[in-house]
Amino acid sequence: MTHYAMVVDLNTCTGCNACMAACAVENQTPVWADKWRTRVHDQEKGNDSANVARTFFPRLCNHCDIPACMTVCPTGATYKMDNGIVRIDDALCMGCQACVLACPYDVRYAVEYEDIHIAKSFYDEDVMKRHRPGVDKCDFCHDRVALGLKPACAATCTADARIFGDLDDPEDRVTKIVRSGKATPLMAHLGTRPNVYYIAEHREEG
Amino acid sequence: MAWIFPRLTRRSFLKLGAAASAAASPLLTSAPVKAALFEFAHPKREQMKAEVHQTICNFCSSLCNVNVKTLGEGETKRIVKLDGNVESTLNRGRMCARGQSGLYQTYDTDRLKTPLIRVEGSKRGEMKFRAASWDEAWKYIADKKKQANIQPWEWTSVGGWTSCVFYMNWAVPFAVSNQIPNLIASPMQHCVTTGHLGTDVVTGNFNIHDEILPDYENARYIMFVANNGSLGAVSTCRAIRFAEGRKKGAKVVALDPRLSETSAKADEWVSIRPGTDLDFMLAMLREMMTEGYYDLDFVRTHTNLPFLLYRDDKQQWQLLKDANGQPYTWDETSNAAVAMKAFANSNTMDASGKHILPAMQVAAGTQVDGKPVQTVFQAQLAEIGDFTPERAAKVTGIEADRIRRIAKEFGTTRPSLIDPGWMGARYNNIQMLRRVQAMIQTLVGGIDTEGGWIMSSEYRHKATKMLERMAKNEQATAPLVQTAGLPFAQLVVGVISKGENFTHGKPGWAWAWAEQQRAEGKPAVALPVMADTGFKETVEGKLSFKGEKYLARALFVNAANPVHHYFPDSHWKDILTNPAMELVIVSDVLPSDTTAYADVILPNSTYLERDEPAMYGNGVNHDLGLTTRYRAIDPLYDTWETPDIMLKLSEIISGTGDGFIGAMEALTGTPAAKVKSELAKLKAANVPSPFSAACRKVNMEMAAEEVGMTPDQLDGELRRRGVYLIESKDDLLAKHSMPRHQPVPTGSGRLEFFSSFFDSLRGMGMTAPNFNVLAGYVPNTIRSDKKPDEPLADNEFYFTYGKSPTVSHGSTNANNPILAGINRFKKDIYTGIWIHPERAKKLGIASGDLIEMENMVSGQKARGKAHVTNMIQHETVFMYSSFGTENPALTRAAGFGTSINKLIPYQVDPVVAGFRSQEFTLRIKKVEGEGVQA
Repeated sequence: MTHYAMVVDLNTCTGCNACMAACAVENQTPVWADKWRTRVHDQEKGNDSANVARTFFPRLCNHCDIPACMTVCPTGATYKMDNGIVRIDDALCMGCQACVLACPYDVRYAVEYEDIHIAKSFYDEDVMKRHRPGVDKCDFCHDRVALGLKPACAATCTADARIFGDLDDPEDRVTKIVRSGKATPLMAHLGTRPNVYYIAEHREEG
Repeated sequence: MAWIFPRLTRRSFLKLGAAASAAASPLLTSAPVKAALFEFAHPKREQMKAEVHQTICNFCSSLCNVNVKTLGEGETKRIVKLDGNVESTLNRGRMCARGQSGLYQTYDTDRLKTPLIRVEGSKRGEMKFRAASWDEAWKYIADKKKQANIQPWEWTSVGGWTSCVFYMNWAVPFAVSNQIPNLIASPMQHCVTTGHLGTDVVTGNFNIHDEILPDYENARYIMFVANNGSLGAVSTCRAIRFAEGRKKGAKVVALDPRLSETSAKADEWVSIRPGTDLDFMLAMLREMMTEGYYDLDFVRTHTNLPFLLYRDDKQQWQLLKDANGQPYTWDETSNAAVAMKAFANSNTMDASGKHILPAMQVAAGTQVDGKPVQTVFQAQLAEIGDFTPERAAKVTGIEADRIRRIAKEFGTTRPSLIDPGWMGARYNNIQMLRRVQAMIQTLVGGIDTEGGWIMSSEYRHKATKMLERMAKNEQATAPLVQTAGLPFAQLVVGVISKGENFTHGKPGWAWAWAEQQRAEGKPAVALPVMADTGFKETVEGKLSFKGEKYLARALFVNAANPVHHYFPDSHWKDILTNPAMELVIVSDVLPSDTTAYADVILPNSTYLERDEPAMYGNGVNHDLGLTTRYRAIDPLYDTWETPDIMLKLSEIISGTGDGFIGAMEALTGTPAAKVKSELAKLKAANVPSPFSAACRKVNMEMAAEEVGMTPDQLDGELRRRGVYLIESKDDLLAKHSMPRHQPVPTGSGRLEFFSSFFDSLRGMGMTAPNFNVLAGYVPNTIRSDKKPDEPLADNEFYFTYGKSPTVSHGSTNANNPILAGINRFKKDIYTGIWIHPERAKKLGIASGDLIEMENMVSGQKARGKAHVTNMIQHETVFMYSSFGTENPALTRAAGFGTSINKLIPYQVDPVVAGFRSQEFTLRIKKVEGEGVQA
């Protein structure tokens, strides 16, 4: 079996936004309406000059083993593939956005008619990947992955901060990192069993 | 949030209505209606022909190798994705946000689609143009040239960095053959001749773009000084190597007044006072030299630190040389002064071939040939003797113990690496800063070696060939492409600075201006290499040469945007709107701020629409390779390639293009007869931009011969893989590492603390501390009347700027729709004026408030929104330099953010006219009223 997962190493991400751009182009997201499948937040931490830190925090769908979005979907449009990727079947999605509300990671967004209309000229109608409004989110670039490629974000990451792999393969780099306990998922207490893990920042004392 | 169904907009409703009306009964939930409502365009995508094309990215000088994925065929072929080329050892399959978004420059709806001619009666700057054919555009140019009787020397050619990297072999022959001594190259005053030259006088390096790719991934200690550009903003080949180094556990220290993208990745962010990095570095150099934190074997063998110096009767340091001009050192074995070869990579033998052990220091009172002598090491240490960590602490705001500790850590951890820096030109002292950084890197032996600075293999290869030729006393047959390092800089200076190289007897106006200034006893720039110093004055009729007025009346701007890149914006606007300026031609792909000031705009293809006319080295890669661009799609619009534009301009200026093609042969070795015969064939076949295509064909043949392949073989290899690798980093370093295995192209062949470059400028009578033959103090003049540690007024701030990760300094890339989306998402950080909370509070400023910044030296004013943050040194404000486009024809970029050149005045350094773009303070106040809200 295959169980796709991603490790994000916060120690190396420089906030270059290459992943945002690569994802937007690969998945033709409505960037004009500030809709992205992944975002890198530029966060300031600490209250004064002495302890201030700047963290670049990439976010995307966590491809949970127990996805809240799937539970609430009234039409069955949201489903989990055998390889662990959580996807939306555009033909079944009625755009109710219950999933958008249910997702604890706030990574889903509505694609509206207007977005599809603009996309026809922006991304070129002939080569468009999606033609229906509905709801969209990261699908680990399932089409690239099916061809043996990495998701667009991980493939281009200039800091090797996004590491994509298969948790069912004991030799996979991702599996080794996750097993080592160095990386932890977000909000594990919710019980969604997410498959995106983060290596927290570690700084040497100055 | 309520549960809602997909919103039916009026437009989509009408569309659906039209489709539904074809169905029998719109009220039934029958199949046809359902189909009409939910039938969306059928996905064609899967059936379209997919192809991958090879190219080189065009958004910075790192030159990443790129795979271009297209779908479809012929006219409807569409680029759908760019990926880093996984075969490339330079960028290893990766690309930054600019690279990833590159296809939307090609598909940008704001592109220049046809030649444009300024509407009669409109003024430059109003952006009023009418579409024209190429024939009309050329006729306009030819008529204007004739009517205004524009002479060759009255032309000035302005090039951006792409002109240098991709078209230097055309741009220089174009200028030389048309007798145009005036070239302005946009990265020069901003980085190449300022920051890079500082590095280069130590290493001998000098390249048209990148020289050094630091080997971060094998370093254990990494420092960044006044530099976010090379990592954080973003050079992919550097970023990927840095990430590897950090993962392996390298300690990272960053000196920056701002918690930049780079500083955010550092173990230690040293929040230094702006403009005082040199004080820190001099203290560090002193500490390393006095405490012995250096690789003794390396510096003894490969630097000029053990050379002997004496003071001449003017009290200036001079190298002690024998009658043959060979430098002396003190041999510890024979305990005597011995002469060594004048040009060599090592000091292990005297001039006769006997083994020696050069001393780093000689005893006090040592005399040679009746002169009291010291080693360069001793003189250098004496020069900076006062620059203790305590003194630096006072100026930089960084504790002395911390400076001491960092010097020790850097000097005793191997391999350690101090990034050479990316952009220079912020302060009068930045050239010296970069020079000292190169010396510090030299002290730890980290030159052209693992974990240290590794030279671009393209550059090293060229240097190796040049040194082989020099050893055999052979002349270069194609000097422009065969000369490497500082000799290349000297070659360029030699051509444009001397009137005798031109039939009209005039040097470039920058050189004539400097001469006139000197004659009048006014400050002049020593080496205004491709700089804009004196241009405005020349346009205004203030320059005379040999008793005649020297005017500048015509401009050809190619892929450069001086109205946004140069300082201040009004300087170039004045030049461009001066009635004496008869003709302004601008060639670009997008309507930059500068195009608004053109008479004629010539549209260029984008990098994805063109084959380049040549083969190129693999940028700054450690491996030696060949690469080029293949067009992924045919040009979308009526565009020409740069070489063809230059050929046509040559015909207009000189009456024929033959001289241009001949000069190409003389300077670059491209056989003119072959190019001409190919050109005739391609012209007859109606191939677009036939000159570029002819050059490509001939250059492919030449490159193939060089690597022992047929042109078809090399072409096939490049089409398949994008890069043809010739030799690996390990093999190259083992054979040709500089200076371990061959001399560096300095005057002595050694890494130089005593600079032969600045030694050679002494005859010009320059006395400023910038010209010191040794590393020394150069003051910054941010507050000319005050010392750096004197407190600022409550509303007074230092000014700093930097490049964002998405858009280079003032680039038209701000208009790229994908990047524009990211920039809007990060608007507060990317377009805000960073200001410290304590200082902001005193002025009643909160995040989002509109503030006014006033330059306290020049009075220039600009406004922006405050971004109150602890991520900035408390005396400083910061803004990204990416934004503030004015031309409304760039619909996404115009009006977004503030441009730095609204605040930066015209101030240049005395060596190369480098911009002193941060040497002032700002007065800041909140803009009250006017309905402005937080």
